[in-house]
Amino acid sequence: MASALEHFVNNVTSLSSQGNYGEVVKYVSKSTEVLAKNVAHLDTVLATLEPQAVSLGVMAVLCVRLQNTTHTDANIDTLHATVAEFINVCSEEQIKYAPDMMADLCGSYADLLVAGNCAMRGIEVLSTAIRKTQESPLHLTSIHAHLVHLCLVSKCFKPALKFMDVDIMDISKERGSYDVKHFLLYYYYGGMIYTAVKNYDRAQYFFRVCITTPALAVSHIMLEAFKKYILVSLILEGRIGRIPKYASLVVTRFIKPLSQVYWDLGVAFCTNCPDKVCSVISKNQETFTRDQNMGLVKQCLSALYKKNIQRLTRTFLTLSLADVANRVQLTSPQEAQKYILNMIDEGEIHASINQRDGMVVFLDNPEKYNSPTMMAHLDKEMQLCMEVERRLQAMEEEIVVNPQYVQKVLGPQEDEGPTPSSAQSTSFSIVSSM
Amino acid sequence: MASMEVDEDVAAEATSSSQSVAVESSSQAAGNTSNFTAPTSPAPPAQPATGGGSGSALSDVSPGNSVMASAGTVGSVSVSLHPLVILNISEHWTRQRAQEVTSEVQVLGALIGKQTGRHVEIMNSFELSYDMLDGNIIINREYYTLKEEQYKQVFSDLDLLGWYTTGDTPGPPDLLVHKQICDLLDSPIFLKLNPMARHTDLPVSIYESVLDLVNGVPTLLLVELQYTLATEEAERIGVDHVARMSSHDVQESSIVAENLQAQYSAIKMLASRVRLIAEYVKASQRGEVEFNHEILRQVNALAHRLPVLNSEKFRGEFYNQCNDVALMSYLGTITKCCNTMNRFINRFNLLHERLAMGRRMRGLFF
Repeated sequence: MASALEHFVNNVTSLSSQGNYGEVVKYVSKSTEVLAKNVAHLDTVLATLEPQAVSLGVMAVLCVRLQNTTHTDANIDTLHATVAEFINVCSEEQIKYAPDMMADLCGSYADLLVAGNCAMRGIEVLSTAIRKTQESPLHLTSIHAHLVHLCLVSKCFKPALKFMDVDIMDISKERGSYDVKHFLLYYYYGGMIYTAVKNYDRAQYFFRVCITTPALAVSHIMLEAFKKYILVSLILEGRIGRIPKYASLVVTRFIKPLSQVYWDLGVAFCTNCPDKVCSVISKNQETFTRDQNMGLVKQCLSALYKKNIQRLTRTFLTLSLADVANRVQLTSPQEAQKYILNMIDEGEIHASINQRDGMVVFLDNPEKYNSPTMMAHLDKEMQLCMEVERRLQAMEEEIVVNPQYVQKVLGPQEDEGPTPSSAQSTSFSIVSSM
Repeated sequence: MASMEVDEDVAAEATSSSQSVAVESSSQAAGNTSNFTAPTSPAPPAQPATGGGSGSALSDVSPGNSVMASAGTVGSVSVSLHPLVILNISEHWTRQRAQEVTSEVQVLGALIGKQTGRHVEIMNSFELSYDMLDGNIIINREYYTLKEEQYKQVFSDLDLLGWYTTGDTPGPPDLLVHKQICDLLDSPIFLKLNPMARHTDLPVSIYESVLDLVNGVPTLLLVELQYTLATEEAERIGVDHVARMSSHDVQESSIVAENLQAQYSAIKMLASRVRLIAEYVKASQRGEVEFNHEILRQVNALAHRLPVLNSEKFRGEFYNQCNDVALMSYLGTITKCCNTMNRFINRFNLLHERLAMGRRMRGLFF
C-alpha cells in the first residue's frame, strides 16, 4: 500500500510547508495505523521526508518505526543514527505542538539502547531533546527520566548531573501523556546517581521527594527509594531518616513492614556497635544482595566507624592511635590512621596526627567566620532565599486570582442567606486573611 | 538633639513690658479677660525677639492686673523639662477639647520630677480634677492624693514639683490655683502651655512664685524661669515616633530605611567625588590635562589624611561584623520566606480543599 504512504507524505509535506502545524499533528495522529501497517516501507518514507521542514511527520514515522522494532534488528544502528540526527536538526517550533510524541519517541529510543547495551550513544541525543522540548529550564519532562536511566546504565553521570542540579519548578504536561512513573523514576534514578558521586545530601533529598509523592498505594519504585533513603540517611546523618509529615498516609503506614530488614539495620546502627551491625548485615545478606544494595550497606558500615571516631572528639583532646582503634573496634592502629586521614581530607573532622608518638590531637573548627569568602557564601544563600520567596509570591498570585478560590472565599456569604454569626465571622476572618 | 535651649528671655521681656504696669489692685476675673484680649503694647506676648526692650516697661498702660514680677527678677532654680510632659499636656488638652462642646478649654494637672539643690527636672505629669466654685478653680484634694499615691508606687523617686495649665499669659486665676498648690508644696513650679500659639517656638513658659511687697501688700508674683529640654534615649525615640505618627498620615517606608537612604546618598556622593578626583589624576598622568602642581599637592594631602587601616586584625574584625550583619539579614530573608510560604500553603489548602471537609469544618482552619 505504497500509495497510502505517498498520500501521507504528500499531505504532511504540504501542511507543514503551509505552517499549519496543528493540522499536521491531528492528521498524523489519525494516520498512525496506516504507518503501522506499512512498517517495512517506513525506511524509505524516512528517506524522503526532510527532518527539518517536516519534523512532525518524521517524528511520527520514527515513533511507529521504533515501536515495531527490537534491539536485535539488523539495521538498528542506522535507525539509531537516524534518530540521533533527527533530534539534532528537528525544528523546535514544530515539536512544541506534539510533546507527547516526542516523549514516546525518546522513550522507545532509550529502551532500545538499553536493551542493546549501547546506552552511552543516547545520552547526548536525549540531552538535546530535553533542551528542545522543555518549556523552560525548570520544567520536568518524561525525557528526563529516560536520560537519567541511560546515564545510570552507562555509568556516565556528568550530563545527567547538569540537569539534576537545577531545582524543578514545574512539570510539563505533554498533553496528558506525562505519567507519575516518569516522575518517580526520575527522582529514584537521580538519587542513585547522586549516591554514586557521593553527594549524599542531594541524594537524600531526591529519595525523599520520591517517597513523599502523593499516592494512594505504595509503588515499587517508592519502596526501593525508601530502602535507599534509609541507607543514605545512615551514611549522611548516622540515624534513620524521618519520614516527613507530608508523605501520604499509605506510605507511612505500609512502607515500614515492607522494608523491615532495613529498619533493623538502622536500629542496629543507632546503637553505635559495629558488631551488632555486622551481625545484622550477615544475617540479611541475601536480601541486601537481591535488592542490589550491598554496596551501600558496606558504606554504611564504614560510616559507622566514622561516626564513632567523631564521637571520640567530644570526649578526648588527644588519643593514641591504638586507643582509637580499640574504642572504635577497628582491627589495627594503621586502619584507624587511614580512616582519620580520610576524614581530615574530606573535612569531616579537624585533627592532626603526630606520627612519632602515634597520637591524634583533636582540634576545634578553625573557621572564624571573618573572611570575605564566608560573606560571599552568605550572600549567595540570601540570594537563593530571595529567589524562592519571589517564586512563592508568583505562585500565590496565581491562586489568588483563580476564580475558584475567590468563589470559595466568598461562598458562605451568598449560599447561606441570613448567615449565622459563626459563619459570618469565619468569612470575615477569611477575607481578612486574604 | 539632646538638649535645646529656648531663649525665652526676650519674649518674657516683651510680655513683661507690655503688661508690667504696676497696677496691682486686687484681681477680678473680669479684669483679667481684658488683660488677655487687649494687649496694647507694641509687641503682643506671642511674638518672640522683636520688641524686647529691657526695662522700658511702663510704655503703655494696659488695664487689668499683672501677676508677673518686675522684669529683671532672676529665678532661683534652673529647670529641665522632659518632652514627655509637653506631650502629656497637649494630649490632655486635645482630648478635653474633642470632648467638650465649648471651644475654650482649660486643663489642669500636676508636675512630678526630681529636684536636686537648685536644679529641677520635670519628668512626668498627670491630670488633676477640679471644681468650679464661683468661677474659681478649686482643686479636688482627694483625687490628687489618690493619684499621687499611685504614682509614687510606680515612680518612687519622683516628687510633686508643681502644676501646669493651658492658656495664654498667666493671670490672677492662675495665682489662685498656685496658692492652693502652695498648700501641698513649698514653692511649686508653674508651667503654662499655650495651645493656640501662632509662633513656631515652644509655647511653654515656666514660672515660680515669689512673695513681693507691692504697695505694702505682700502678694504672690510670678517670675519667669529659663528652662532647657532634657531627655533620655528611650524617651527620645518614643517621642520622636509619636511625633512622626501624628504628622504623617501614611508611613510608607520604615524609619530605618530613611536613615539608611540618607547614608546611602551621602556615600554615593562621596564615591562620585572620589572618582572625579581619581579621574583627574589619571588624566594628568596621561597628559590629557595640564599638570597642575597645586591641585595635585592638595590631592596628595587629602590622601594622606585618610585613615589607612589595612592591618590583619582590622580585616578580621571588619569581616566579623560584616558577616554578623549578613547573618541577620539572612535570618530576616528566611523569616520572610517562611511567612510567604505559610500564606501560600493556607491558600493552596483552601483552594484544593476536599469536599468531604464540608463548610462547617472550615472554621477549624482559622
